[in-house]
Amino acid sequence: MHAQEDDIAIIQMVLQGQQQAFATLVARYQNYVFTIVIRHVNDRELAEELAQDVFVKAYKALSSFKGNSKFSTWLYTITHHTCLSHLRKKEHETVFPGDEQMHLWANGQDGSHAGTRLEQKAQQQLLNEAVKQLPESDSELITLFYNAEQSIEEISVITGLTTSNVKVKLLRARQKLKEILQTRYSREVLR
Amino acid sequence: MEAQDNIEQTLWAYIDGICDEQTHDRVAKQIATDALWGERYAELMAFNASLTNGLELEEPSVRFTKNVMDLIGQASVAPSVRAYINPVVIRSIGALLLLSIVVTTLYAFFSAGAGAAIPVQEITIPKAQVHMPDAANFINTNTITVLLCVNVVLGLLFLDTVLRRKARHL
Repeated sequence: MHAQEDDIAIIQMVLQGQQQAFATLVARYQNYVFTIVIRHVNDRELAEELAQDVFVKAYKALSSFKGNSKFSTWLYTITHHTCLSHLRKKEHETVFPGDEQMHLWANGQDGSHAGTRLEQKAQQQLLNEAVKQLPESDSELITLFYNAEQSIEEISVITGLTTSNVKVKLLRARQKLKEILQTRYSREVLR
Repeated sequence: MEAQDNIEQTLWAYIDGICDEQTHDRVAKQIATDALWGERYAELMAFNASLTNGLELEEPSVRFTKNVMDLIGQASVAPSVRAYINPVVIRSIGALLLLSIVVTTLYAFFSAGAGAAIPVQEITIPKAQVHMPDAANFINTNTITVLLCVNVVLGLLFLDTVLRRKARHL
């Protein structure tokens, strides 16, 4: 993760008129924002559009960032609300990734792993695919906690949930994830 | 099952480092002495490690930053709220409202005081001839049934909205 001071210095530069400095923040956080968005919409093209929208919103509202929280927390709050507002506008239909493909990977029948034990990379891939099968709010929590390294309190700010609610939901999300991995890909992932 | 759930909940709080010092010490002791706790802890730690190291970030297209910067090129940073809201103006509006409330209250108070001196006999209230339809004609079993049906439908719609919202947040 990047130092908060560094982010604030860049923000100051942008506010002083150096628009190009914002590109550093975009490059720094684009994967995190994009991952959170894709956990909600499960469509790369749409996710890219929404993630761009998040950065434009953040840029326009940059002067309202007071530095009370980390810049990343502020940015993920915008991301969270942008996703929710999109989902409210358009009833979201959860599309799970193809189970057949998952079983092919898990059973090593897709050619690349034929007859061999799954490599660590493939296990990671299964884990990531399993996260995508969680309900969007759960996969968002997992992403915020593990990928974006946000604390329980910060996730509470981002999602608007109470800290105790975040704790319970995170516990449930991990249980669900474990269940998915155990029931569908047990031998391959949880060896 | 519930006991297992509680153990898991406590162990996750311990692993995440969000339990208080007293609980932390108790759990550490439990893990060291109780085989079941030790086993569950090792299992959860392995799972936590796989989540910490195994979860990958999705990557947008290589043109992403350029696309954002192109969009931003047409936009400008909105001025801070403090920059365009003058606190003096807000305070003046507040003072004006307060003043109008005080003046109205005082006027009403003194008018009432002056009015109290007028003899009651001098005040005559004109009788208004308003022909109101008889409510009893409208309120009958059919009307009540229709109103109840409408309320039930509205209640179901509201319940549906609430449940959908809850389901989305679960």
